[in-house]
Amino acid sequence: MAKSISLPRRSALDWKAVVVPYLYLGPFLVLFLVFRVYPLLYGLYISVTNAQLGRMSTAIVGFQNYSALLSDPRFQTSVVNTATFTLEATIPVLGVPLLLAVVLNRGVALRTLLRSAFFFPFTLSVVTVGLIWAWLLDPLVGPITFYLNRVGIFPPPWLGDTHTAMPAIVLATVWSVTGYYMVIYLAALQDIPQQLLEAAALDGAGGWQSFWSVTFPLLRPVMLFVVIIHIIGALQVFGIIFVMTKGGPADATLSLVQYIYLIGFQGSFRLGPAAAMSWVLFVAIFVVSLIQFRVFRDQAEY
Amino acid sequence: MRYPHSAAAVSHAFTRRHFLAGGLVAVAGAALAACSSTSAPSSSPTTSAATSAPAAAPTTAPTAAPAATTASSSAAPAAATATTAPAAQSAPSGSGGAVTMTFWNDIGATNAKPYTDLQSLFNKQTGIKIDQQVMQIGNLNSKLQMGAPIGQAPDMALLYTTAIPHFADLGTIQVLDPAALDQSGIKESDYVPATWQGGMYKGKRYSVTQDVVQSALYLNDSMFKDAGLTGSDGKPQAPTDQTSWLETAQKLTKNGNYGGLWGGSSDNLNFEGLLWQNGTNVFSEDLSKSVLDQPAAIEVATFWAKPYAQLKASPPDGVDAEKAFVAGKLAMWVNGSWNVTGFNDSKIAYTVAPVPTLFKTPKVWSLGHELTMPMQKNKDDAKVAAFWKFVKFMIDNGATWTVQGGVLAANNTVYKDPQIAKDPILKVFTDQSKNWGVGQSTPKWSDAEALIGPVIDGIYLGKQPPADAMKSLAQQISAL
Repeated sequence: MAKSISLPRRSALDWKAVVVPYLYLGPFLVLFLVFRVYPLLYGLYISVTNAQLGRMSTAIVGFQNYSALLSDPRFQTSVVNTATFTLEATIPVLGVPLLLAVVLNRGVALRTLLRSAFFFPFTLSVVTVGLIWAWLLDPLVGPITFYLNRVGIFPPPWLGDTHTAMPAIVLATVWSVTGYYMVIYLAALQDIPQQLLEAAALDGAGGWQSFWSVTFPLLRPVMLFVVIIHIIGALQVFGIIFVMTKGGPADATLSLVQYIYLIGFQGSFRLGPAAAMSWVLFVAIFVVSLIQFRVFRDQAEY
Repeated sequence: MRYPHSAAAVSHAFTRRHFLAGGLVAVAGAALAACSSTSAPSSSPTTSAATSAPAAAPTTAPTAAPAATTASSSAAPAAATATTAPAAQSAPSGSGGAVTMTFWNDIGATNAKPYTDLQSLFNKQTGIKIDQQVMQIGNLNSKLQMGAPIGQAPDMALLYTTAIPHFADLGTIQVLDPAALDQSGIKESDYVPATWQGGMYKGKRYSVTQDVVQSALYLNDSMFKDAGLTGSDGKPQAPTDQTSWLETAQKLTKNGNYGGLWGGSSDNLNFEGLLWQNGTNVFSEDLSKSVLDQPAAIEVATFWAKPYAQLKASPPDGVDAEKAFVAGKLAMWVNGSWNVTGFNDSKIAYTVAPVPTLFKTPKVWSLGHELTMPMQKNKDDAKVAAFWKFVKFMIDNGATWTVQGGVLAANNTVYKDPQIAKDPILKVFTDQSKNWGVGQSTPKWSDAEALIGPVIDGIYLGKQPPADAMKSLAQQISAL
């Protein structure tokens, strides 16, 4: 007959094992609730009012702030611009940092120096990056235009042309963040078990086949992280655009966050419409993140 | 066997309880710090107002120092020899002790010292202390908007004319007593009509104009000389109308340089000046809707597309016009009087000329600095009296402020002062005063200006047909 095991009765002191971890989490949770959750919910409330900075009383206006967005051409422009920036900035970020990481992982000469050099732009502030590129691309005094002119090429005014302003900002952004994602990819590459690569080589897999069949699937979790983080950041782009073009020329680079800033913190300080746009952005980021999780959810296992 | 660590030693080790206690103390401290009241405005200037505030008018720092009698001279005016003797001021009546007035303004950069010196003089004469905080106009507007409803507004604030209707509508600033205005000796006849009306909203006065910035035409002397466009006196031949403006700009556009720029591609301020020149405005006279879709405004927009999109005589968007002018890449530039300081510092040879009349009437864009009294929780008669004394002091010392601070006083009686009358740059500014125009008295003005900039930028670049763009713009502004 099997011997039954009787569990000891839970003593009064055992409740501490349950409660104490939450007490440790408490400080963070308090700050999270106060500075994240509360503003989020209060913003939702403001979005259905006619709140304006300096106006003591507010009235509920229902979904008027949201419906007004449908006929606001600048809001629509800012949404398109933000989506365009996100798409144009994400595609290079998927490939360029990975390529650099793969090259560095192969043990090239001056690897440490190159890694630092590629990472260095990420250490600069957004304002610094924006100013550097604004000067580089200045049509009158910028070196890029100057030297191109010297070889007979007369480029458009990069930041003054509606066709080239956004690509210029994308270029500055990709230059700034490539090093950061490269380091993440590099760490992930170094985490891949060598036995798998050796096994693939024994099976006759070449460099590309080994990368595509072994390395790339194992990098999917990292790529998911990179893509999600980058897209969340790209959808909230503000600083670099504000420094380089302030949303111009002719609203060609006006981002959604910048438009929220203009409506909520400039002019009449209309907080209601600004909060409504903020919630639209929040929902968009949330949906995009969910979609990405679903697309990347299958992980390679060996 | 005793372990090396005694029970007493273990009790001194850092345990989970210690960590928990420390965390709770840190959170409590943070909560207490967050709940503490905000400090009163400090007596020292915080930030200077030298940079621009996007979407708020004006778009660049409204300071100027017309120190040069000619463009190539860098001689400063005789700062210590203002011909107007500061008027004696008496201490505010009914005050049991010294009065201290908190004062928010955006007078920074090179104008900060002259302004502070005047405040010190005011203190010496009246015993009233000015406790000023200098900040960018965007920050000032938002702080005032937040502070007034909760009794955290300063005793005085220096606002722009176009902001008066907005703050008046919100109840942020006080109505000024007409009787007190009369008693102070400030007369309508001493002001240009546009400036006198600047402090009015819905028939009530909310401010008194202290000084005015305006547009002017800047000419690069060496570029004009190289192009052979100088008169017998060797000075640049300034264009005076639309035909001569466009012709001169085209002649000066060569070798990678640009002939002329009217403000900037998205410069709504100087665009407004052209609307006024053509007898129209942003809103209808009753302020009920925008008239930018009317022929007069479309005519202005059609001109706006000519210099760059059609003639390539203006620089493209994204060019720093001030730097281009100083670098000798831009020959003519219509922009604010505050640029004089920078041009003098750069030692560039330049001439200031009146703004050309491109359309029907010689209107010039201008904007005033308005002295206001924000709303307070409790009325203080001593501070009200002190406010009027400061207003009168700044009027009486308008010549000093103009010469030393480089900002043209609003009270035009000082324009006859010899130091002002003989300065060629100040003479241009004072001669233009009769043609000053200001924005319409509506709380929607700032929001309308924010919409105008991107649209005229598109017209400038040739991306949008002027008529269609203006019609769309008028709809957006009318919907405000």
